[in-house]
Amino acid sequence: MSSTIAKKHYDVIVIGGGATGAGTVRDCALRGLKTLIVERYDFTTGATGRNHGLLHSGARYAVTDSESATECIEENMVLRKIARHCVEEHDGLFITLPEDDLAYQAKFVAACQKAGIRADIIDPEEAKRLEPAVNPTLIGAVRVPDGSVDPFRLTVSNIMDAQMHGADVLTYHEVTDLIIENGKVCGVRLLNTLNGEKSEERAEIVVNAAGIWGSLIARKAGITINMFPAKGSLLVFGHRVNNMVINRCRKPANADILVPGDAITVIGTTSDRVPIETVDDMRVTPEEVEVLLKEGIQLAPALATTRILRAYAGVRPLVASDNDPSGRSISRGIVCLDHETRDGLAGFVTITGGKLMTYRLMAETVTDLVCQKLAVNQKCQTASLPLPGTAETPSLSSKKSYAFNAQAGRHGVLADNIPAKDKMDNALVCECEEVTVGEIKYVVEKQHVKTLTQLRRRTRVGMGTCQSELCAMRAAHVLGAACGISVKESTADLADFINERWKGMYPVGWGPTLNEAQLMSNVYQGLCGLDKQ
Amino acid sequence: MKFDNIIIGGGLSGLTCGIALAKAGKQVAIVAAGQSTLHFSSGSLGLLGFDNEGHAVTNPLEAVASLPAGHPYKKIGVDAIPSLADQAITLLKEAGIALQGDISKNHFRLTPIGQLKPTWLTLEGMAVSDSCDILPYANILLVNIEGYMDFPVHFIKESIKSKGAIVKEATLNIAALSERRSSPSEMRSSNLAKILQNEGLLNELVTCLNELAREADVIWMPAILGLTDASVFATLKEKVNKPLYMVATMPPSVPGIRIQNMLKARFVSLGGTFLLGHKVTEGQFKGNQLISVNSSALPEEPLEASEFILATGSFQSNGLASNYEKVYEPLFDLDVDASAQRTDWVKEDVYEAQPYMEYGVSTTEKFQVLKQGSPISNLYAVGSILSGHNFVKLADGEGVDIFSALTVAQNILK
Repeated sequence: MSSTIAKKHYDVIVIGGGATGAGTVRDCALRGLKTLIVERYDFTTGATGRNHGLLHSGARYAVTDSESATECIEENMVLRKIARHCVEEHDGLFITLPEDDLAYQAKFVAACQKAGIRADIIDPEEAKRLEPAVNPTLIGAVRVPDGSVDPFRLTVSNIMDAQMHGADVLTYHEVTDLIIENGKVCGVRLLNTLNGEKSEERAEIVVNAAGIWGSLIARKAGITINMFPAKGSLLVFGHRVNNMVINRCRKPANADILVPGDAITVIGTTSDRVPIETVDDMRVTPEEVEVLLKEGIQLAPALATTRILRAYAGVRPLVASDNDPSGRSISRGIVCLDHETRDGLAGFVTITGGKLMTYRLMAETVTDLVCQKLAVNQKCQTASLPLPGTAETPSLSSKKSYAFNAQAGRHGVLADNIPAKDKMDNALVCECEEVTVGEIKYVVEKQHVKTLTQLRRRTRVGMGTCQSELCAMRAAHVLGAACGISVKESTADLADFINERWKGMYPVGWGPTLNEAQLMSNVYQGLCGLDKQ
Repeated sequence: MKFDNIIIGGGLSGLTCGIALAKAGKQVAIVAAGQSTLHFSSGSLGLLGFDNEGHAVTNPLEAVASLPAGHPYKKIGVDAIPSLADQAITLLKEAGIALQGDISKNHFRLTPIGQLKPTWLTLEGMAVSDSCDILPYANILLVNIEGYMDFPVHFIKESIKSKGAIVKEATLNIAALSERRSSPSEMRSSNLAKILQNEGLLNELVTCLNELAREADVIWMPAILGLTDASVFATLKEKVNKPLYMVATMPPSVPGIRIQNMLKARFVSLGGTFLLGHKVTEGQFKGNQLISVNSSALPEEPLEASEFILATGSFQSNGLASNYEKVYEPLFDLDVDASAQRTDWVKEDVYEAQPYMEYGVSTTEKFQVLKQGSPISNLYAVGSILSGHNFVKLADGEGVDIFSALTVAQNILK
């Protein structure tokens, strides 16, 4: 059935709601293009939401891939300016342990300097003073400008800014096909993944920014992009063990980055080639957990006795260029493909490769290409225009709600728009992360939230120590009312949410994590009678 | 210090066992580290709500016969259950805990999200139904306190409607409670219950309820009354013009805390010693006997007894523990019934029966625990630390707690 509503004709349709797609739709909108972004689920459901959240200095790539290293440090400095509310500037250490070759340190520092990355060799004693959690047996340390970044917040900020500049957003719309007429891509056919409705949208150019799924999108146009899916597994620990990023000063290997973020610490990653058919169903294996723990303890011995909250895995969208089985020696560089010149198909471009750190540069690169094709002469402004929320420090003095500081941390200056006049709006739903009823109303209205999992990505509800034990029910109740959905839908959503939380816990289901899981089952399945819907 | 019996753990099973022993004249001490899972209680006691296939059980007394051999009821003896159930009801009644329910026919408790689930006994004053399809009222007033978030009224309302009853929702805005809302952790059931002990406030509540309930047959409110006994609720019920019932809330559970407090008071009134905030740290064994234990609060003073009862609960209560390598009993390193293979402990879907739920300490037929393959003749295990049942799936947790506790008390008294 075709819709009778008159359709807009867009300049650009961007496929993929990760950081790259969000950055691209923002860049396009800022340059005055009529743009639509389509995403099959929620924002950040691919690799963007499944990584360390590391604000790379680029040091890690300095020896093996100087081009990526330079891109990283440049973008690192850009993000500190334009996305201040999404980053933590705590620096990082590259440590040498007794079993490592200390000679690598000199090579590493030289490579960093060549790439423009500040890299200061510091005394191991000084390293221990700066970062008490570091392995005390270290024999060398280099301080670099690493930090951490909240990829959820970063992506949604890009989307919000794009919307403020006229872009349209369709989440839960999967591209089933590209519309190709006379050798040119002129739009996309869409399937609403919530209600099964079909529709189509048209544009002059379609940008494929679907990460690892980009090869499947290209395949719909008969185009082969030889992607190289590399799975990376990570573990989240129950509190913030370290305050600086800790890396191993050696050739990049498994599980050698430990990143603090908000109230937790993340260790990762493994790297294993996986078939493209499996990328929708990534599971963390017991072997990966073992490697992550073993290596993590080398960086910070306290991890041995720290509760593991959960495990998760993402897939890097690397573009294959050789047969390296580990996927590590492949350039993390940006790949921008003009399918008109490459494959003879006009109206279609792909942006891939790269990494979270370079999402903005990737967006700039592909938007430059789009503008050139559309003969639009507008300069990129994204390296200097701050993202919404980051513009100025929110006025803490005049405030008001108990949770305002936490909210300002999440939403920057936009936290001022969170309803807080009414007592009920200030009631706390999630006590670990200080999420109020008002904040839930706000993200429902402004940030496309319809489910508890989306709510978690926007507000961190249920991500704290209790892992939603106490707040999931409250959140389901408040969210249901704010969205106007039925109790039946709310119940199903709650049941899914509890299972989604467990899926990250079961690979690390021992110790306090197992104890908490039992309590959670006792409360939701036992006391409440919640069951699979 | 020397006692006849020392019970480690102050939850439902520990208290039940303590009361039974103290009533028989024993000098009993309960050593309790802190809160118990009664804080997550529904206000009901389940004997067997579901069978192994997940079907709701109508007659729990009949259905226990078909449980698998490893279930604690099988060790207790299926034939002994009717008499244990009578003893349990008497014990609870003597503690002042009034209950409704019939062992030959489960009734249905109302959960905090409005579902009807089969159970054996429910505290008087809590909303129940004889059927899972219909409610015994046609027109219900569903009341909540403004700002209280652990009572999801939309869910309960929807459930009432789906059972064919009419429901009206009302929110009470009481100034004395409203003030509490400026601090986020104050609007909890247990705090509200403390405030509502004030008689003036209760009268204010009565006026509001009588005003609102003109058209209703019955009033349902969150179970936030009565931490120490049922008197606050009884007073309110007497003054309100319409029948008044309470519905279970999200934790903390006021009905559960009340059960705990009343059992504790009964235990103490029988001469029992309740050592709260005492975490047992170690035990001294001699041959196949436990001689004494030490607690964190009295490290220099060994607590000696002829018999010891381990009532420390399952994983959620830290009665069982696990690490990367194994499941273990953290206090005495007792033998456990659990898979040695970590990947066997859990299943990927949270709603599947999780194998770890059935793990527990290994015991003899008399519930004596084992250490390195040999029974400890004077150390018994009761309650959720026992292996062989999944309390979430079977809704049998309280039955196992109470019946194993009474059985062990009998074994000791023999």
